Amino acid sequence: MHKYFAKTRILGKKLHYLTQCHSTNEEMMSLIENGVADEGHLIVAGYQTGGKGQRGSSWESAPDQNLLFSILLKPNFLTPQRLHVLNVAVAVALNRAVNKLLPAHQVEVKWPNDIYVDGIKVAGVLIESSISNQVDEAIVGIGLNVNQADQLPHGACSLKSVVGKDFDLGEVLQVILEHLEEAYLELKESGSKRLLYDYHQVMHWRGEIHEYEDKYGGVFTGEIIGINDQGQLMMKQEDRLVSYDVKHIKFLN
Amino acid sequence: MKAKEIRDLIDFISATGLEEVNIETEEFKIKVKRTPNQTAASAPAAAPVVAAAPAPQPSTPAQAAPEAAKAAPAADAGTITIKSPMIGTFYDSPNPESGAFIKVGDMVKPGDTVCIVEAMKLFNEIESEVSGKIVKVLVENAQPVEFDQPLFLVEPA
Repeated sequence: MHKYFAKTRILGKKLHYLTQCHSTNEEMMSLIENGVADEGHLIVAGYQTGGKGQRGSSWESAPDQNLLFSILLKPNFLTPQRLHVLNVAVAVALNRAVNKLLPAHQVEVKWPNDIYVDGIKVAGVLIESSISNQVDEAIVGIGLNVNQADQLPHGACSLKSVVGKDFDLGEVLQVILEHLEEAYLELKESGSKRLLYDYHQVMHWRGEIHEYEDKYGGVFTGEIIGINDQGQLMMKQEDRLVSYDVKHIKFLN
Repeated sequence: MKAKEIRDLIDFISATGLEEVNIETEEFKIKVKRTPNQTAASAPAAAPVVAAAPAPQPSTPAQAAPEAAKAAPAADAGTITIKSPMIGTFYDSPNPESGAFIKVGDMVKPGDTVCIVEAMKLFNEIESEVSGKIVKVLVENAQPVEFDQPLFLVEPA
């Protein structure tokens, strides 16, 4: 693994590599509590015993085959209500990075922030922030399947399973960090407009008719229009426009 | 505003327990008033009085929601209210297996995490800005919350 990411200005200038840990987001939290983590601090794990997905769900990965890392950001230029644009920036950056690594494939963002290659999940993001009256810190945790080709969890793929060759983990990480930094600085300096546009361009199932399940278990047909100014999914159902939160809708087929 | 959107708005407002809500934007003006002494069980959709001007642009209930939340009743005398900084889902614990961050009777100080509000897979630890004793938890675990919705009442120390 590279020790120094020459092409970035902020991200990954300080790196902790852990062969094994519970969760890189949790490791970052303890560094923050001890006051030793600056913006851009990177923690990479070879293997996670308690990788976090969405609340209560886990992220599984074989040792030293995939990328599991957390980056510390201090987006104090965002109000808590606007924090979802950080999700947009990270998803767009990760999408661009995977697209660069797999140029011949369709790379999309499944709302809110999973990355899909040819319709199958390859990466997930979990952002944890702390808010007082402003956003103090945001820990961006990313899990990307890279060289794991066997025993991938159901409904998941890896860079290798898509193209049949191995990738250098350090190089893949470098590509992701470059794109993350570019998107983050764009958000900070120019705002979210172009990032939101790009997000909509690569949104999985947008503009198509698909089946979804609501929180009561009811199945319905709808068309994704995009996200609203709170990051919620906007869906056209017959002639109505309905907004959904993450827990309230499931993508079926 | 379409009839369905007005119905959704009324449903939303009746669920909050507010007495009266006035929302005015460039496109429309709406006033919803609840008859006092009414219990939640008695047909909430029929009770509020609605007056809405025609709107050229459709407006979703989600957009109207933060306006409604701002009108939340004032806190009990002498207490400070900790409010939600964003729309999302309220969690009282760091993860489903562990206990609550704080409960009634606990002391908090600035910087202490009081809850998590999750929005679009962003998990936000909300820190107290005040010192004092928690006297009331106003929302239940896993309940949806609006921007500015009161979450905790704190008796200042």
